[in-house]
Amino acid sequence: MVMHYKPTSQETPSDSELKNSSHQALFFKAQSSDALLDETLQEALKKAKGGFIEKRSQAIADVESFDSYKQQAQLVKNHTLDHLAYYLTQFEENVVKNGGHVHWASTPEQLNNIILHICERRDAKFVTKGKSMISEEANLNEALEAAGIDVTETDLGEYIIQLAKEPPSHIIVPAIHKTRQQVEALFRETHDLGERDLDKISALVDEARLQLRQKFLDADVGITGANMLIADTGSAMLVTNEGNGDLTATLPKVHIVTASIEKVIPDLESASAILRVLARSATGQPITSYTSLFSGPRDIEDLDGPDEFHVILLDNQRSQMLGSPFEEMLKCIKCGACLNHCPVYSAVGGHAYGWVYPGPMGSVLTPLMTGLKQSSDLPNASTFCGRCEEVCPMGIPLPELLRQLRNREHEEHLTPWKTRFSLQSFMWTIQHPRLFHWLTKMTRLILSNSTLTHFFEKHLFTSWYNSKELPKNHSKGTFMEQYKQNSKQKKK
Amino acid sequence: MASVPNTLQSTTPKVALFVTCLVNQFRPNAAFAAISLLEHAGCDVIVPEAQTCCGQPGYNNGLRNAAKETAKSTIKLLEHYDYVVLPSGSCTGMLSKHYPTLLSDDKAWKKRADNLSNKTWELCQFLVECLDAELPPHSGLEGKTISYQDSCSCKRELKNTSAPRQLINQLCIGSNVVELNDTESCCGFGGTFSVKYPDISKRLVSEKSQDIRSTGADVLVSADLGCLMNIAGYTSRTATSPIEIRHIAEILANKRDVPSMATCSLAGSGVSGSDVSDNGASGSKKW
Amino acid sequence: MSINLNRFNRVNRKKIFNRIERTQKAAIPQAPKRPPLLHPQLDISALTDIFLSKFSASSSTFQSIDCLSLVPQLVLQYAEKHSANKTLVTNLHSILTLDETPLDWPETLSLSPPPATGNEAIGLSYATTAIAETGSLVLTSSEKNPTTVNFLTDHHIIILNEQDIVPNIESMWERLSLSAGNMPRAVNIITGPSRTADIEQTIQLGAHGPRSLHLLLLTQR
Repeated sequence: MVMHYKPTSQETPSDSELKNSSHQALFFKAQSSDALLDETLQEALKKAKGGFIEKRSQAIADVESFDSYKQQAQLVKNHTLDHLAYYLTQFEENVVKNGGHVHWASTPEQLNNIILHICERRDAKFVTKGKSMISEEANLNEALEAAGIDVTETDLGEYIIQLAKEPPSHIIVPAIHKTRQQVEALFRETHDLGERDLDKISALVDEARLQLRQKFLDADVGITGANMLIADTGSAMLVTNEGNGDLTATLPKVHIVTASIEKVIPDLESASAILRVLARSATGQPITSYTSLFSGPRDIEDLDGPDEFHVILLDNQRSQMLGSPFEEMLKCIKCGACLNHCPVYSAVGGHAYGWVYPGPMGSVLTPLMTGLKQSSDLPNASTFCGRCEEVCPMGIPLPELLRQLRNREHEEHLTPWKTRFSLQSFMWTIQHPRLFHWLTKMTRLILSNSTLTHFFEKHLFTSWYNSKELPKNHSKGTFMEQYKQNSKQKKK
Repeated sequence: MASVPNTLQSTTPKVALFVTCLVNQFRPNAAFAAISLLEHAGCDVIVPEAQTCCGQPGYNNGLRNAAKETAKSTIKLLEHYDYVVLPSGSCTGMLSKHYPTLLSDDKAWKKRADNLSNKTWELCQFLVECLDAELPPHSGLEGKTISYQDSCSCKRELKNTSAPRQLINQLCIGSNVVELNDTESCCGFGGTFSVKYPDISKRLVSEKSQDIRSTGADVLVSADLGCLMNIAGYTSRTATSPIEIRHIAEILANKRDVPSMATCSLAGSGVSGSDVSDNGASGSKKW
Repeated sequence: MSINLNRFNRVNRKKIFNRIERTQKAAIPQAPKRPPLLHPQLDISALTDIFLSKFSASSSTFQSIDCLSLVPQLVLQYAEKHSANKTLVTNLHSILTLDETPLDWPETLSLSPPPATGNEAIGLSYATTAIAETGSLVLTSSEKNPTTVNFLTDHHIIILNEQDIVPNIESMWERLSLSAGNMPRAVNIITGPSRTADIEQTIQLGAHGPRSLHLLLLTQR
């Protein structure tokens, strides 16, 4: 069963728009309202809430100066983005020097084509995958399955959502929206379990380990993502806790790394700076269980490892962000801290956002990668509380980027006309103080009349009034009315 | 360019109060309280009558050019005073942080925006950091439990968390100050967010309101009217026992004769602030 | 589907670089100068203590040894405590120098040569270096130290020479002295056993890789 959103309170887009995998982002508002009513989802979100926040804050309290760690990591990224062409070239040269291959994909479709080409050439039947957000961008699993290839996600969270035929709802914890009971039900449905007890989480983890172990051993091609690409050594760095990425990269004959172009950094010293902030921001660990550096196919003497090593570099609009007001977004290291600390994400979960990247970072990336028109709700889905920017290890000004997208929406006339009209009128009025103060007086008079107030509550301010009382002015007038009167009296 | 007024000439600084559009419309008492606090601290308070709104609704909703015009007229109106003080974190942030960004591509205006930014203060921060002010005498809070909600703009944009607490502690002889369990979370107001996404906003404010309840606070104050309207609006709808919700200036200035922002519709009629102490969730209750 | 991959790559590469180079100078020949970075400084005199405390914090265990000949007995003890299956995969003998006495493996342990196949319960390898800052062991892949041993076994035992502990991540890279064209296929920085918190954010050890990690620290006496 494929997850399907039924928009309840918005018009449906045309069929051509539906073909775009990002179309679900169009329904954020309806999806978020549904999510709030989904009791199982809310139960899962409640369990997740707080844990990440607490662990992260402990992890950064444990080091002398996390701010200085952040500065170093930001220095690295700023410098690299200023010289991206150089470092990409250097990375490519060095991968080749190590005996690997580099491929370039402008679009997600091209990335899929390259992978299919490699799989076809090696006659691959079974593919294992480590978690890769890039492959989610490309919807790679669907492309592989269409080509008759058996593909298995090996990260436990990814495996669970693959069984459920759902997209990830978090960039580092893809199945955060599932309760253990749901996972158990999925395993019972898809695995041959008999009467075995799966009550405990440990039993579920063991079951997945058992199932996936054989997949690792059988795979012809292993596909992983990369947290960083090291230009100086021509290596892909992978950060995981489960070890699934390492098994995926080690056991099959072919290892394919999928990464986006902004993942490149100058050297291993730079990688150290980013490692220091990555796991602390993501899971609250000083470092994850496994940090691995892959640099090509096996050597002649090696007893294990793939005999082919490929890196596919995906652009997908990133080169367009460079030099634009959204360049800062390319500093994102996908730690997920902004999701974990976002009040909106915590309330509605990741699926409401409708595409692979949820939360604040997703609300910036989705419009840039899939079109603002298809995701015009997302930049507005923020209270601008600023917590995302505060916890972002790369100091990305997420609220400001969302604000920039709102500017674009206004410029491109993507906002509903009612909103547009009211905001424009308001902004015009506040440029005319006399009119403004006359109107505030009128508003005050209207709101002091209970019949009129009632009309306003029912017809104009419904979305507020549905859950909250309208504010009341308990005084004799607006502040300005009273102040002016007081001043007059004083003069007398 | 006008010369900067020489503050050394007189010991009483000329302070322009920018009351903000929400206070003007819905909570004049907060502005009167602010005036009284500033005057008590020895300021010459002026309320420029041509003030309207700082332009935040347009700025945050993509009307950048309109916001620029608002910024310019606000700068013109306020730049000649020694200080500009606002009873709101988010509007202070607009003037002091966002005007300079908004006008950054125009050198002359950027300079004027920076100049204004340097003398713009949120009320509590101004009282504590700039004036080291004494509070006027107060009464009526004895035995009450008071809690403070950090607005996100005060907390993150202005890094202003200690000044309001310091002030509350000053007046709390004989009363109890409690922190919310979660002082980091947004109340779900977010300006136009609260009307664009009412369901999410409701969820967030319901969590905030539960937190407030769980502290057993009789009085909740904050330095931003938006958050207060949001919390009070929700509390009025759902509360079974009343809670006194006010702008922080009102309790600091001992101006509690205007009713609480939250009514208690479920318990019957609107209950005024001064009535609360007798039948409210008492501060002596252990939670 | 068949594409001419070389041509495909050339065309795409050019397009991507054109877009990047709109905003910055074309791939300049000389290397840009990366700004200098600060490294956290550690108390060098307490490296081993710092390392062991961080290492233990990652749900790992350790024993100190002063001689490699103790290894077989300790491995057996560990196996008896943790595993019904007494199969061991290792290439340890290959790192012993000629003047060292060959290891005397007890018969109860069934030894198999690498690579690991997934049937062996215990893997024994050695760390090239270790990082005090993070409590991590660093293993470089080679014929002597194959990567599968690190990930396919249920219990992973690693030998580390105390002298190989370095202060921070940067000094670890320096110690490995890696350069393109000369890279080990894999470098594994290992900090604790395999773990997952993917179900209800509850940490479980042994997701796909080893369920436990044990260190034999070879000290200089």
